[in-house]
Amino acid sequence: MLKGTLAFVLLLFLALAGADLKRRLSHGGRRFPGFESFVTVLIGAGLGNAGFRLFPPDLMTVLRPVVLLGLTWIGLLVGLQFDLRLLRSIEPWQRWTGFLVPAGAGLASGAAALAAGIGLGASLVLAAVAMVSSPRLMGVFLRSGPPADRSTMRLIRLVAALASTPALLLYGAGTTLIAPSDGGPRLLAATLGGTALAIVLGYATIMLLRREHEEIHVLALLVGVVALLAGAATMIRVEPMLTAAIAGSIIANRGHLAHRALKAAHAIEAPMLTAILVLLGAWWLPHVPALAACGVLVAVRGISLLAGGEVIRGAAHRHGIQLRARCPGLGLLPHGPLALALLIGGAVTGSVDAAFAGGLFVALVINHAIGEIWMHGVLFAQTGPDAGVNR
Amino acid sequence: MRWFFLVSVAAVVWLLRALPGFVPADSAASALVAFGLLTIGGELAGEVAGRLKVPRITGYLVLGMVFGPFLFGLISPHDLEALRVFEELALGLIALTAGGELQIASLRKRWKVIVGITASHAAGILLLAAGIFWLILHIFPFLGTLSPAEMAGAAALIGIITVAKSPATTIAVITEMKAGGNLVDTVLGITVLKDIVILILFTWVNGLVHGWIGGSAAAGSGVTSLAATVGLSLLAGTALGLLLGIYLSKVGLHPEITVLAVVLLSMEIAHGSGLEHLLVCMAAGFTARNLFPTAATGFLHALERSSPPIYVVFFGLIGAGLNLGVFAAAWAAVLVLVVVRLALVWGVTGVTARALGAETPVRRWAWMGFIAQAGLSLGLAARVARELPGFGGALATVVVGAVVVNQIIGPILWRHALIASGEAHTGR
Repeated sequence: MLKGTLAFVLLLFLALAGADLKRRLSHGGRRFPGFESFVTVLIGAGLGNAGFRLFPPDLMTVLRPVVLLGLTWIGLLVGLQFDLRLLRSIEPWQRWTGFLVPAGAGLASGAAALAAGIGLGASLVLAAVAMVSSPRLMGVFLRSGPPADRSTMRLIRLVAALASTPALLLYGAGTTLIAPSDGGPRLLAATLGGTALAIVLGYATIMLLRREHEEIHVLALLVGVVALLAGAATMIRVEPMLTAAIAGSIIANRGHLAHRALKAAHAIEAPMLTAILVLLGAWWLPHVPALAACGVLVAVRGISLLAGGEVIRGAAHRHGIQLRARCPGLGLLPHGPLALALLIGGAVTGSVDAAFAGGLFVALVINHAIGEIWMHGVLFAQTGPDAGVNR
Repeated sequence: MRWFFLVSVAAVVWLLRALPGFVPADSAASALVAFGLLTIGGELAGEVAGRLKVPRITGYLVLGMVFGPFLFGLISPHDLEALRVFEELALGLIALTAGGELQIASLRKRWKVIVGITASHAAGILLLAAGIFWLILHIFPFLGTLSPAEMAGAAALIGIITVAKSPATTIAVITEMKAGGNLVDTVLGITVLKDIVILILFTWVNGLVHGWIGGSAAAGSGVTSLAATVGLSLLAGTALGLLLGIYLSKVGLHPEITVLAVVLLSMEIAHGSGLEHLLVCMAAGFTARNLFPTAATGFLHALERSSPPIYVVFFGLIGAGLNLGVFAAAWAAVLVLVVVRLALVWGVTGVTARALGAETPVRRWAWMGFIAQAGLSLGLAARVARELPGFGGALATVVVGAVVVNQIIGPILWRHALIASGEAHTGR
């Protein structure tokens, strides 16, 4: 078995190999660009607890600072993309649909988990994960060719983009609330402290970035800010991802430097995500009952999103937009990196165990596959004489 | 305004630390806070240092001192311990850079000067410093009443520590100043060679001192085992350098992360088998650079690109770890040690360089590259304190105080030397 440092080295190399694999596969265009994530997790599983056991069993504890840093980084990325000007430019009905449909999926999945006797913490993580959808995957499909039904693709992408905010809010607020605490005043102080921290660091980052032009210095500053956020938020027991997202949204909306921060943040996103995937795979312990429970949860989320899709179709119809694709809600099935981050976050805080996290990951893969099949269908379907109208 | 926000951030951290009842102890979180504080503050401190025409690393050091446990206490001793891995990592990267900067062709041209100055430091400075301190040690009462043997031992150990320097600081200033030329090549060569010599010398002298004052260590066996360690370290480093070179020339993807992984790997190998991490990395850099020159260009660029943020944290940590209280306790002895060392390094380097017919910049400015002291000297001082319980603690106190001063003035002098010799902003 490898020691912590060597495990980290191996993780680093696997992350590099995974990031390259991802890039090569994505050159393949429309052919299932999300498949590589599954392969990466399988590599991790092969080397980890379920396979050769090369990593230490307490991997999450050994690499906790690194994991915290990675999760907070993803929180910052989410925040950096939260542009209020863009949000205001969206029509109100689209905004509300974008918040309500994922909230419905989260509520249904969380309630089903609670009913199945899964603990409050794990149910909360599950509800947050169920709310998240991947707008990026849709972007990949949209870039790879003109879809038969562009309106559906665009609207679904918008809803997916909006879903990350309520998911992160639910996760952040929920984990802070259910964390062991001495009482209300302390909880209130922690919440206020976390918000103050995010505001101070958000503005500090804007001021610091103003004079930095070299990418390496921008990256160094961001790493520093993320480390400080991760550490300070953990110390006062508020969710670091949410704190970082608030700081990121301040940078995105209070300065003209968001693009520079975003560029630097994206520069290490691919290896970081791959590292998280390998970590998840290595940590996973196969457990049949957990897999079965997650299968049921896939069904619950699928049904609620199918219903949500019809809500979107109805709302669009009332505003003069015709969505011709069948079952538009299926486009919201793929989850994306934030869901993985929430899952790992749950693992670090101890809300979910290795068996449940593994089952949940399989659920994410199934959702991803169904979503991609649906997108292929929408891309290549010839839906009648007016198919080209929206192109 | 930028400083206002740094002060705000520091105030938030101070609040977190000041409310122990509110904040649960979490070492990982605390270390992350310290890391973030050093990175953010270091960037600002480096900028201010640049405006004051002193090296950026001086800014990082001062910031570390201010935030460290001996002044404001925003970084605790536990944080320093938790971030030790990062310190090792940075030291490995710096050693890899040093090795990568050494080219056989250049060394061949100036090997006489490199070996000559290293030998003169190892013999001349050691003997002169030991002699001077043997004569004056009795005027420092805090060392207690020493027997003649203890006096000789203390003088010998001060002599050896006087020769030690900080390779990391020298290399960091060279990188920052983008310097290149005869002076840089000579000082780099001496830096690498001296690092090996100091380790062997210290083990030998320490063994001798133990013998004089009735300890149990045998000087001979210590040196033999250290020579084996040095040899094995160089061998392991060469093997690692070969692997790195092959990877860089055949694959070449993500050089920054590859370099990071190589350093982590060497750290693990060194710790696992008792080898010298610094030597392993130096040998790896040297091998990769000289056996795979084409691929090494990308590798050196990768090191250069990734070095500024690493220096920020590394020198911040060194600054935070410097025991400032020591300086107040033994300032007279510290100043004597600093002045004597400055004079000896200046004199011995200049005389040797002239005798060997070195170029004018080497004769006039090379000594300034040997003033800074940090990790190695502190490590030697800690060993003195640990292994010589009688007077070792007091001696280590003086050495640590001198290291504080040398680490402040060393980078400033070396930066001045690079500018004065015309080698700044010419290479790399």
